Amino acid sequence: MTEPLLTLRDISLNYGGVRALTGLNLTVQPGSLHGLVGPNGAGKTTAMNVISGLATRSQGEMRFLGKPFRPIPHHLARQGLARTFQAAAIIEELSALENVQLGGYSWTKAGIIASALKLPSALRDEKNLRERALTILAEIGFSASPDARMAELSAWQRRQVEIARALMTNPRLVLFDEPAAGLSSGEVASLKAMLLSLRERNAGQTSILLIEHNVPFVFSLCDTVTAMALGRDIAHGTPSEVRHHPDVISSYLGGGGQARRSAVAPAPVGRSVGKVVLELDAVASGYGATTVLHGVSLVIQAGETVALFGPNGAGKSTLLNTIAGERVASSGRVVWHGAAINGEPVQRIVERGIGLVPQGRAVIERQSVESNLLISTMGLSLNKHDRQQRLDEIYAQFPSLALRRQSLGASLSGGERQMLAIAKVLIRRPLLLLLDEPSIGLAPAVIEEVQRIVATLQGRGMTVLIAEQAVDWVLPVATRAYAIAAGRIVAEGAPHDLADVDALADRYLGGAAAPISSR
Amino acid sequence: MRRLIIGLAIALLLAVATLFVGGYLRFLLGQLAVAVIAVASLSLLGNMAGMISLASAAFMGFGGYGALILLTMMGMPLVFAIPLTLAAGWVVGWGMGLVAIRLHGISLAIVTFGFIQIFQVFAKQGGELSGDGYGLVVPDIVVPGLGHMTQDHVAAACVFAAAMTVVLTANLTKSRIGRTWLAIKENPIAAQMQGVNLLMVRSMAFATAGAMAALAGILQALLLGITNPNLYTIDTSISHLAMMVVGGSTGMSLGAVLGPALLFFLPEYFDLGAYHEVLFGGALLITLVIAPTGLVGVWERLAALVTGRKQ
Repeated sequence: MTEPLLTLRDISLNYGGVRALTGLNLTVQPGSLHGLVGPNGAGKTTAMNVISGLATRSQGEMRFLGKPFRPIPHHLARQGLARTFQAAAIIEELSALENVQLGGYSWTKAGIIASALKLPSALRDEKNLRERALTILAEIGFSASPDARMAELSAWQRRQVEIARALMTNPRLVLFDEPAAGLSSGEVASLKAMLLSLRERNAGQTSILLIEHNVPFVFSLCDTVTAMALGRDIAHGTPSEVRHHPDVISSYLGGGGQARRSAVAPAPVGRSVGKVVLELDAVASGYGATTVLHGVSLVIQAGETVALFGPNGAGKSTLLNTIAGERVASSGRVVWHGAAINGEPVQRIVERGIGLVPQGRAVIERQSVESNLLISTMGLSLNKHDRQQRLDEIYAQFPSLALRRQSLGASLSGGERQMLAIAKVLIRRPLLLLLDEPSIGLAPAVIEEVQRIVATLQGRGMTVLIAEQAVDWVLPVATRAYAIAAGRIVAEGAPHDLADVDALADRYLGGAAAPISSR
Repeated sequence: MRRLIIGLAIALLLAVATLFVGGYLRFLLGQLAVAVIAVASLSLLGNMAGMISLASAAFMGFGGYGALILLTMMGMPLVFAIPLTLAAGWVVGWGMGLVAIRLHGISLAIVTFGFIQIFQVFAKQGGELSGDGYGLVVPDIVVPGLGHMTQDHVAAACVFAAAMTVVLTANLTKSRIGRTWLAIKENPIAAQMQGVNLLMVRSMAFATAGAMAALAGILQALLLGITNPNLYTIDTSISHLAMMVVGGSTGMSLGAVLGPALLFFLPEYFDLGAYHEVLFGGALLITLVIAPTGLVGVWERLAALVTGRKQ
């Protein structure tokens, strides 16, 4: 047994009131291609930030290359640790070649005077950097001109530049944060080939630690996988061991895909309660050049509680944001009570009665709970009496918030933040409530409380659309469901029919012999 | 090395040429050169390393007073007084970098503004060191080989220094150091991952800019023959900043010439008087609204139109 390259023992980290890591263990062997998977909010990016010294005040023990390890960001390159970022962190004002040359900062010395005077030492450094950068760019198959400006490059070429820059540091371990994000299926295949070849560097001793929400991609590529949930590791082993580990499946689907033992009475499945309130007709939407939604059509009737199931990156958030006006559909129509609303400003859509509770719990940290709520009533022209009445209503519905009305947003726990985020939308009395993955990172007891709130709202006749990855808590409350994958609606029907465990597990985690899913 | 020699030759040529133009124009060229150095110093900080400084006037004052104190009160020869003052500017710049290290944007600008206030207190109430608040006067300086130093000599030296500043900052832009500064401006976290110590690199940028502004201050004092508290107020810093913005953010070295040329040299040479301020405000407005990359950007776009190269 060789000494592991990197070990994390029982790492914990708190952000404000949120426990981002709760005892994470991780062991990366030399020369391995190691994947780190887990549902949104499991703490994958936080783990990477801890390893690269960007998240501080963590507890626990780390070792790297056989020595105790206290990462300081600007020492890592020299120690043999490089990383890439989710949104390729390249410097727009530099050319592709110059960006890669930056990676050689730690093994060159030319200072200001030598550089300004172009002394021989600076010219030698520059020549070495240039040659090494050109070699690496050629090795990884960079096809554009090295002198190209970053703005001229595609997402894949920008990614290549960032990877080449990481390799310039001669790393023993490279951390990849969502390298496949925004790439086409052909590019994902090239990325896979590239990652496999990187491992051969340094006589097969270079390791890769990869986080990626495209789970089938990770399973088909990596030799070792660690699965995380709620801030710690829940499974470790070969891709196939982890893929079929019951805890892993339930971390993605919630409770193994079975309906949670009920905190609420089951909703009347399939009831058609009223007229159509919202209709999406062939909606396409995305970010810049990347299209996320490819012609999504769906219908929501008054009083329904509709679930939108899908894995990370399927387009759930983009869909809700497009309905709420945060993103503008590039084609297709969003129709609310018979009127096309796509392209309307967010403020107008909010006034029409569509309320979005975004992922990440939009709470103003430096304001009290009560101020947070009052800020949400601005623009409603309420008099003092009405405002107090709405506050009382909210406090009656959320007793935990009533107890903490003077506490600052920053001091709330993850569950309390989620309650406040929902309350901030409800105080405006919306007609349609959009919930974006409300269960992320929450303990089961808190999820049950969210479930109870949804059931209460349903009882009052409110229309709700819940985008979720974890199926279990939504099943008892949903009256109808859609499944979304890779930006397309792939199924529609009664919630229980869509939530078949094996089929969902395949969709989220890939089949047993997982093909790379195109994104 | 070859490029350095070519740069030196061009700088010398420009300096000698300065000696052959008319007296007033020569004086203006000297002042233009001082502004070019000051703006290059701000541009290095702002456009390259991403830190907005309002302290250029304070550093110029530091250079002017520092050099004159060494020359008059300590009787130090010019060849020692200049490097010593530059070194002191470097050190003070470094110190300001350490003070300002965790600040960005407006808070950083306000801290650098504080340096001007402190300097004004010295210039007005510094007793003998500041000429009892009236400023210092340049003594008679004999330069071996040239005899008594005149304003003409100083103007030529200013032009030489400005030309070299442009060449050297252009070299820096295309070097390991320049790339690092651009990187800490755009993405400090990514820069750290390449091994860049933000604290060191930021203070180094401040130190270099401090020495450059001190050089501008020394030359200005020698050119005018005096120092005076009114030369080093916030107005001076803001006009430098405006010249930097109008000059342009890409191709910083050229921008440091174009900005002062348009906003200082042209109005003075053509004696625009009151229209000077209209030009100043108008140029700033037009730059910010229409051509955010400044004169250099306009120049590049015109060049692209002519050559048909895709931008």
